[in-house]
Amino acid sequence: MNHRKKIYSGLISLAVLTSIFAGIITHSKNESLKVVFLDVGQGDAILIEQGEKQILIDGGPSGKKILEELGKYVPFWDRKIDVVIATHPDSDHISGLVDVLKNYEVGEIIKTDASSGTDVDKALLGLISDKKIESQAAEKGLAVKLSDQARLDIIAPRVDENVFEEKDTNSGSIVAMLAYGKNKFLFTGDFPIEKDSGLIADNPDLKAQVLKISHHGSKNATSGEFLKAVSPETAVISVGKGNRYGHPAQETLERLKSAGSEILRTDERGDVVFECRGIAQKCVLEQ
Amino acid sequence: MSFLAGVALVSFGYPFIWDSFYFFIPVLFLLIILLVFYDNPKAVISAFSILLLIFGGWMTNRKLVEADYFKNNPQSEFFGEVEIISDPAMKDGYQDLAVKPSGKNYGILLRASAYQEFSYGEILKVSGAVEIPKNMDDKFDYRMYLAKEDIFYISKKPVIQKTGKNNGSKIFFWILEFKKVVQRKIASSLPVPESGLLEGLVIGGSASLPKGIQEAFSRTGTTHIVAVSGYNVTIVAEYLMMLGIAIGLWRKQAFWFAVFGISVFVFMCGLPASAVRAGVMGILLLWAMKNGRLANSGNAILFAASVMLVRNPLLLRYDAGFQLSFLATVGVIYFYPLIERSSHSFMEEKGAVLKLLFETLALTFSAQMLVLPILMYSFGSLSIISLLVNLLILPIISFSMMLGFFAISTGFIFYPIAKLLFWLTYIPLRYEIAVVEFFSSLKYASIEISNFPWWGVGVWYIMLFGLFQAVKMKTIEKISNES
Repeated sequence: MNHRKKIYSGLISLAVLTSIFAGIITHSKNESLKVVFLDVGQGDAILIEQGEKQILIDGGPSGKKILEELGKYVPFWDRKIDVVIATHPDSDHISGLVDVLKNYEVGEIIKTDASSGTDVDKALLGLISDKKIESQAAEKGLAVKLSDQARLDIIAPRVDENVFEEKDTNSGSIVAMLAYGKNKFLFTGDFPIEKDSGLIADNPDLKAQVLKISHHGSKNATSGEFLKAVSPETAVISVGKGNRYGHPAQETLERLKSAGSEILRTDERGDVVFECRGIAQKCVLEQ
Repeated sequence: MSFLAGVALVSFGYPFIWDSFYFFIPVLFLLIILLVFYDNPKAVISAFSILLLIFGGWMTNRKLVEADYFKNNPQSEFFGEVEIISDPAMKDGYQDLAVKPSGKNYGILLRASAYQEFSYGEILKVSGAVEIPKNMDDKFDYRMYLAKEDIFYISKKPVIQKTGKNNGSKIFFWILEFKKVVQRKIASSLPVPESGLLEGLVIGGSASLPKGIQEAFSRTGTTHIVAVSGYNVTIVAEYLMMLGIAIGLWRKQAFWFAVFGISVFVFMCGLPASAVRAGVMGILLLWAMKNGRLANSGNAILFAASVMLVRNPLLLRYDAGFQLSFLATVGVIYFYPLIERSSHSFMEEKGAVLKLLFETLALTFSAQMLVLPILMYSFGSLSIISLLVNLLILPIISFSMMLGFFAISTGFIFYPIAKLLFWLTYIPLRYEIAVVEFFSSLKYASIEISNFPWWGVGVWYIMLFGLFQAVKMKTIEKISNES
């Protein structure tokens, strides 16, 4: 009797495992690409996912929050984030990354040499060296391939640029463009307004359907000129409800309105999810 | 019993504080009575109980006097060497360190950066402003909650320097290190929130669960699953015993199996006083069940509670965990046998699954009866669907605990296999979270009860006692009729 019980439970576990494997295989064959602006409060975190491959741009202000968000979108068997990008070392962008590095396997991390000298920054650097995570310096020209069709190009900072400035960490922010067929997403970190014209000069084609508004919609970012160059259909603002900085600024919202962009805010909508079902199709916003 | 009453009387009388002088007069008086009537057993017993009552009161009073002393003598600054006296509590964005300055008799709570590593026993150099803890709302007395652990000051922005020395007990240090490793294994093998749930199940605590999920657990009356309490331990122990019997152990072996399970759990929690207390309650209860003397084990529980209160009398009023542990255990001891006995006749021929479900229901119900007023009073909410949700997930809980435990231990040996086991564990965990989330999303899952009055708690217990007596009489009648 007991013997039979053991055989049964063994068989059941085998059956369950097989179905999990089947699930994994179907999932990884799934070609659709997801871009999720995670609602992490006052900060930035963006997940780009195709099948079992993920790129995470920034980790938001809280480790607890980012892990909760990743739990929602990354399949449970997948404990690896392939590429992590830290746009700049401010705590509302990298705090969450500390916990991501602790709890997920990270393929490589792309960051600048800028340092903010904070505990968080030190903890992050410590983890990178302790866990021997491959680290690449971000500079224009570097590209990350998510799949044959999806690629993320780093377009700022330039190679010759000095980002090693402790006081103004924002100015060294990484800017990256995701291209999937005709669909384009532009991610700007906290890129400052003074450097907008330089970015436009360096990159003749900045057009993108979706623009992540720089610096949570601060008035010191996103010039009218820049919006003209990008001409986004949709502008996503990653911002926390009732934050003490007053983000997003009224001025920025006005600029976006006059550029004719639809504004989506994480404090109002929660996660903002785009799904792209193929290179020929337009990415759609999940309601 | 009278000792407990003494502790209760004085602690609920706070902020009124007695002069210790008043405790000595009746003691003297009673000693005289004892001497005079030493051959009258009734007089001796009553004198003794009053003595115990006074003793309880005096102990409590002493602690309260101490707490008040620090309240009335605020410090504004502190600098010097301190030692971390317990496991750092990681919060969102910061961590709380309980420290004791060297050569002092009080503790300070330091709010430190979450991104620096600290561990138990470390010696730190600290400077910064300190203040007396403030109570954020009038329901929860944060100052006294800390005071019962001998912590009287809090420092919100201390400057902390490591000295590199560690003075803590080596054994305790390694237990905590082991706990950390287990935590890391779980967190790196399962996604949130399932990892948080498994962590709660095997090492206790809900800190790793997202806020929303924590709320869902409380709305569905299932927080006890992840809390370290006698309630949790009791139910877990009960299931461990059933599981032991199911895998073919004798009843006696199953008992030791469950005791072993509880001890492992208490160790994995990192041996905090709360878990030790809960473990003691749980083991006592198991022992009573094993001997079939559930109804007679009340004394043992009372004795255990008294010992705990002698060590720290402030637990009774200021530690919700202690209250819930104690009451839930009492509930199981007194009500569970009654329910079992009165349902014995019609449950006899039913199948094993139905029996298991019924037992779960009976266990939950008997514990809930005693815990409810405290939940309403201290936490201000009443979960209506608690019984149903408990019924749906409790039978699976011990199963996921065992699987998780198995996966973690395998993780120490060979990770690829552990990975598969974690996937298997994921399924029951996912189910439990899904059930809790679904029911908590219902509109009337829980009602907010603001200001449940303290006398309401009293009335509840008096009524419960009446009910208990009435049902007991009836069952005794029934049994005597049958025989």
